[in-house]
Amino acid sequence: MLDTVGAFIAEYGELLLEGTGSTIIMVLVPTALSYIIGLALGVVLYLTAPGSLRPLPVLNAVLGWVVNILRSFPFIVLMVFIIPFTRLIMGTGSGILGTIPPLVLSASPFIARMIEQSLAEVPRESVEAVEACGASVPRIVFSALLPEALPSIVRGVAVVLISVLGYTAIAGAVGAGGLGDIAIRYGYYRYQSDVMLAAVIILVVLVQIIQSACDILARKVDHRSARS
Amino acid sequence: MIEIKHLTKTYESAAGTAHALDDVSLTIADRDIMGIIGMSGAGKSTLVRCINLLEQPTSGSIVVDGQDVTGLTGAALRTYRRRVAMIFQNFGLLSQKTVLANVCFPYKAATGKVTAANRERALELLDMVGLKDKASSYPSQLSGGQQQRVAIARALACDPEYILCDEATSALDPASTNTILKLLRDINRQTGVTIIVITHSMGVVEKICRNVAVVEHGRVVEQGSVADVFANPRSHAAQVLLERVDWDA
Repeated sequence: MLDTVGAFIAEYGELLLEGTGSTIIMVLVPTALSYIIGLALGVVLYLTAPGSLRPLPVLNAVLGWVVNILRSFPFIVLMVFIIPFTRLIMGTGSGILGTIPPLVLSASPFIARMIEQSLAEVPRESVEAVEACGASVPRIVFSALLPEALPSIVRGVAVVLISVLGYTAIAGAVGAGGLGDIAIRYGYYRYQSDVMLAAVIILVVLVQIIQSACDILARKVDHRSARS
Repeated sequence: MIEIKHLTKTYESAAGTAHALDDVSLTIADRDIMGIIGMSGAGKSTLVRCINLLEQPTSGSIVVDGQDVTGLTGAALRTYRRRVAMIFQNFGLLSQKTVLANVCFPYKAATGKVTAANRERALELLDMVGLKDKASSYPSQLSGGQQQRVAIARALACDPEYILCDEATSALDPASTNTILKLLRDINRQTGVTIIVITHSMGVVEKICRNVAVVEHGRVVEQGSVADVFANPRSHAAQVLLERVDWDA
């Protein structure tokens, strides 16, 4: 048994390690970029909604449509659809670099909705109370809304990371590599279920780590229950 | 002095136009504790929220010390709001900030930073409401009455001329209610701050207010000194609120 495992690791260990590395980069880099866009977009969506702090119905509706349209694309379709754009800005339509634009374009509107939702959960009275203290809108956003929504935003990070992890498997279709690509190439095209299984196990472990880490962090930053 | 002149607030919806406030005129004298009382939905909350412009009136004006504040925007509005602090039914504290940080928030709102002197003043205010030892606690670790005292300390940190209390004791038990009411009365006596109390409880009005306005269907139906209104309630709303009508009728 141990020999078999040893032989398996000797043969495929490097491949799986490299795949894990690619997957982690493909998840973290686009997600980080997407949070910059998604946070800004989410805050604007929240502020411009009817009855919010800066109601701008037209801007809100247009941004809402853009977000909804981008979110309606299945990831694989979006990826193929924007290949000319990807080539233009990245110089290549394939590999890890080629996955960044479609992943960012896909994750940003998703994050925007998550942020909008987290902000909407902040009790109305808390927002009005800081408004009544004479705080400006930027001050309300940065000193009250975002800190109050932080636990919810951190929980959202887990959802986003795990979704992006799912997208990266599809990104294998443009030769980006990663664990999903390995699972499909070896498991589906070569009938090497052991390699596929190993790749899937690593994916499961990654998901568990992401979820647990975000849960622990969210509990740490959450002061809403009396135990904290 | 706050003069409310012919204030109207309407809400447009698919169902039609709702008049939350219908030609309300009211004068609130400096150093007064003024009660605005009415049943749920009478418009009293809308009225008080128009005073600090959390709601924009549809027509009419609010004149504070001779200045019409109704059209204020931007920095002028924010400066005005610091003169008119507000406390809320559910306290409106920031749950992710400590008690001290909550009380310091008005300084942050005004200047973008909190100085050592600000923090010292906030601790004095916390001492005044009897919660200095809770400075580093979070609101969730306090009882409702304690949270409202923190909210009062935060309101005082604005160094306001007026304090608006929107159903400030409605979520509290009778003992906490009394503590809050005594605190508001003492603050009024010590600092001369004008207090406007929105409530549906005649008990609250009787305990701390000197003058009272009764609001029904968006209109002021009766106003005068608390002694006069209690002795001789003329409007039906006042009679119901004072339980002077047969409840089973």
